[in-house]
Amino acid sequence: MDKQSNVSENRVVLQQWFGQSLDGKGTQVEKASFQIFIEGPEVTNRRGSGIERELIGFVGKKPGEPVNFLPVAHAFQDLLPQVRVQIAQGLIQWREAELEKAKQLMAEAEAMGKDSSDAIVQQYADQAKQVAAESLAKAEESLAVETKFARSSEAPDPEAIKQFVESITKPAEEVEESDADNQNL
Amino acid sequence: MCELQQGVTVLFSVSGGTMEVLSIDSFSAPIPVIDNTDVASTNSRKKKPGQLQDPQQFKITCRNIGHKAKPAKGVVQDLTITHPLQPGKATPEILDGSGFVVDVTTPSFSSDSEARQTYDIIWQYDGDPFPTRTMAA
Repeated sequence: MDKQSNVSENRVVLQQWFGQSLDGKGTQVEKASFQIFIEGPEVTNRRGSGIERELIGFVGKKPGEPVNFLPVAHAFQDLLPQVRVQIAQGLIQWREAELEKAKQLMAEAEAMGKDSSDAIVQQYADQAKQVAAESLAKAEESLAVETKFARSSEAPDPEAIKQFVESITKPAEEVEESDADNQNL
Repeated sequence: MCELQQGVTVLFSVSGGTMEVLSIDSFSAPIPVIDNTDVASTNSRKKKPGQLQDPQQFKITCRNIGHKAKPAKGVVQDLTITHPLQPGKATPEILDGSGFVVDVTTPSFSSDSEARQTYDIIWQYDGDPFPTRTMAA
């Protein structure tokens, strides 16, 4: 085994997965986590010929959820610190792409109904704007949490995440008021 | 060709997967069988299929390791059962779904014969959503 091998020669891929529901209807269900694959020469070196890509674990999509490695990841123990960094980078990139999509949706919603004075059209446009705004706020919040608590090491403390989310979602007036209150004290 | 049992792993999304598993019982979710016999029936009882599958509890037996954590009861989390990887495949078959640990037993001890210490995890898939199967690829 080449001890000098670097994970940069290999690649960590976060892959969305779909399972087939066993409810009898066989519906495709999008899973709330990513499959973590490692690809590259080290996989072949360590896992035997013919294998170039291997599933090494799972990570939940919700910010703060732990990275769970399968026992097969022990074969890549020395690469795991770098693998964790690549996982965190992958998650942040995915969050950024989600945020971009939410911004696009918001722009489309804002353009809706501009040229119409019809009340029904305006009503639908307002609903679309509200949904898009909620989705944008959620995407911004998730990216902020993911970036701050990048899941490169152990799962962050849920209480710390809660405090951070509260701090970024607190309305501006509330912050000003509490500052003013502090000054009064 | 046959697929073998060795190499299967279990992973709890919150509690992790540090346990050393010895056996996993099969998961079943049968539909009810409704008796539809009336007094005019003279040949046999008549049966109809019910609609709702009922996810059953099943047992995961693990090696007892004194210094390792055991999964917490009642925490809603995903249980992922990853089958052994088959030659030429990158992804094994996976059974995955949300649920909770109903019980974690203590090991039993006996002077009658020598044996390893084991404990049981009783798992319940909550059916919300129903567990999924991902085919090997």
